[in-house]
Amino acid sequence: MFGLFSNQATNNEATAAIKEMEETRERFFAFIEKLEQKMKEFAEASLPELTELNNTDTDEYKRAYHRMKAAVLGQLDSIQKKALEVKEEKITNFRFTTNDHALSTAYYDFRNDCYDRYNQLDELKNHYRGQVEATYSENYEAKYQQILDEYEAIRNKFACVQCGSPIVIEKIYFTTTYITCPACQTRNTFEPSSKAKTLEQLGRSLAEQRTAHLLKEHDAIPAKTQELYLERHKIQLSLIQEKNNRVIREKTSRIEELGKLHEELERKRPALYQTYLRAMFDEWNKINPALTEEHEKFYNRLLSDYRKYKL
Amino acid sequence: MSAENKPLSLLERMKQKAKEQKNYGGEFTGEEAKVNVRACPNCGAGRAKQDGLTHCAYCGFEFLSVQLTDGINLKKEDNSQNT
Repeated sequence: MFGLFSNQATNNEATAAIKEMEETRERFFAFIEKLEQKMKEFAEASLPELTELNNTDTDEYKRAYHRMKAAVLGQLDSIQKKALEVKEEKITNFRFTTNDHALSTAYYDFRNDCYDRYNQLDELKNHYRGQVEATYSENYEAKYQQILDEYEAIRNKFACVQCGSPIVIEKIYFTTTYITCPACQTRNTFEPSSKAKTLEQLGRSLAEQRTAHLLKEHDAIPAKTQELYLERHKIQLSLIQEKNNRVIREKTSRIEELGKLHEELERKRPALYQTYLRAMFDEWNKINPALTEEHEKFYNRLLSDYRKYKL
Repeated sequence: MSAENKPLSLLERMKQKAKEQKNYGGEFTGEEAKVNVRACPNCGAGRAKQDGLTHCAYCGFEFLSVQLTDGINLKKEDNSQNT
């Protein structure tokens, strides 16, 4: 009898809180939808602009393009940040006063719905981030060819500054070096051109570009294993209510089969990475043989990091 | 409002700014490959391979104050002996 009014007050509070949750959810969904719309319009409009700027930017390092790309990505981030702030303020920190179990359950449902909606925006941003990154293209083969052509053109062009005897540039130097005159033994300082100086950085990018298909093969494995896991999980769930022994046997055998495929892929993954890495470094060594020893140290470190941290 | 006076969209402004902004470190100027010789400022002698790179073989002038170690193109043997 004495608790009657307080119970009623609690019920009223709970009803009000649930109503407020409903309203907040609706407002939050509408807000995220607007942000998604804004993000889509902005990203779709910026993609052709970025591609055009990438093609027309004459700067050696395409700096105007990179500035524009950074600005576009910054805009996408700021849209997501707005959603994150509202999510923190209105959803995560949503206040309700009672300790009612039903109300807590309602709150977790409300929170999960809003988080899922926010995650959709996050996925959309990641999708556009990938597309924005993909607008960058650089013809490394052409740049490397320019270095080779330049080397052919200059290799017999120089003479010793001291005695005038011809000096042959025996290989592509990418750093300033001393070349000895075969006639007077004077050490001439040879300074490579700006193009030749980029050989080491260019070499890695080019080698990565040439072996990208191998990395792609390796990177595709997690998606494949996830697919297998989901299929296996679905069959496992369907077994809970299954009574027919024949069906149970068939499904169990399928689960085992999927498990083996999963294991096989996991086992293959490090070997695929090593194949890619070896091919990439072989290419890099071919492009810039002067640093083979250093490249090999780098190769070993990348491989041991991969094994150590299970990347 | 005429087409000329129409305010630029956010994207157009971003593009304009990206193009107009000065490059940090200045414009890129490509340089050609070249060869030079450093003669001793004291006595005018050149540096021959057998005399090493760090000191002048004739007057002992110090070209380089560091001890050379094995690198990509330079080797320990390139240190002058007459130091």
